[in-house]
Amino acid sequence: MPRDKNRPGLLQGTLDLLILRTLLFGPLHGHGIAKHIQRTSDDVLQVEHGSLYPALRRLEESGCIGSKWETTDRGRDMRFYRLTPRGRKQLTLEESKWRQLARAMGRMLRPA
Amino acid sequence: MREDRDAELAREIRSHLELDAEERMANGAPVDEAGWAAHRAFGNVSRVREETRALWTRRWVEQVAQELRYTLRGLLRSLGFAMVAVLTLALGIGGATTMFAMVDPVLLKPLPYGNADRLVEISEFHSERGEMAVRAADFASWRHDVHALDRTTAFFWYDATFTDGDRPEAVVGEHVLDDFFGVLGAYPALGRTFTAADYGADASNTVVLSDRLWRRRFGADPSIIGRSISVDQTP
Repeated sequence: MPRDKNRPGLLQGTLDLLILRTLLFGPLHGHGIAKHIQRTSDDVLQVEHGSLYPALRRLEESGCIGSKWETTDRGRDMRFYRLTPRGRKQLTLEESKWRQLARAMGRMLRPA
Repeated sequence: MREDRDAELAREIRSHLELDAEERMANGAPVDEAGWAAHRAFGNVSRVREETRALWTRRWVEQVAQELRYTLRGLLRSLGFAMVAVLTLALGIGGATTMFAMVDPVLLKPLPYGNADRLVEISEFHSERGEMAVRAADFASWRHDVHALDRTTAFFWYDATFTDGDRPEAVVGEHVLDDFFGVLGAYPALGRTFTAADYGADASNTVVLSDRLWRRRFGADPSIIGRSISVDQTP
């Protein structure tokens, strides 16, 4: 998928937030997370699927998510990630930080 | 551990790519095109694996550094206790090392003689006067009657004055009975040791010089054999 110059790249630190947010709906594997992010953002957010995995490992080590190998309905072994209570707390924190940033940016770009 | 995690990551990536390709085929993409597209969407597989590995390594280094910092802080907080502990260890190690350095040559290393493990010294002790000289009759009886001993010899220490030319020197002398060198399994570097003839009534006095004395007083002169020296003013 060639990168489109008119689409925004991912800001530093946003990937963790996107992953946590996606997992709020229930356990999911890496591929599912990548697809969900793309679909929900109307393909605006282009996540290179591979870049998910270092982020997933980092989140797992910090205790925000847990993981388990499970077999899908189609009989495929996939590693499923789910949110931990700590990850839920982290998500709330990150979300409010992001809203603050977005509000501030909005005011800067379109002053009343 | 690291290999397990790495292998698991590889397996996870494989399952991801397979699922992606499968979905693309379900949407009507041809087989090889679906595989390539899945790889393109994923990005560089080995770079992802490397990044993750680096993450683990960094994590490990951080943890070790953290532990070290924590330990050091703890030690600094109770500086007195830390000093005492370090000094105790240092003293203990130093003491044990010194002890071993002393014990090793005296007790553990064998004497530098042949059959050192079969060498025994027999002497007499008096309850009040300590170590005593063995009487000649006792020695003669041991030599003949104690069969546990293969060979026997006797020696007697004394302080001697050694003279060669006009320079006298105090040395430790030892009168020895025949077979002394044979029992020890020691052989002279030069000349001979004592033989039965040296113990005859009309034999002239003979000495065996220590290697150290030979080097010090005679400059390790090999022509020393047969020369006359004076011990306690007796040639």
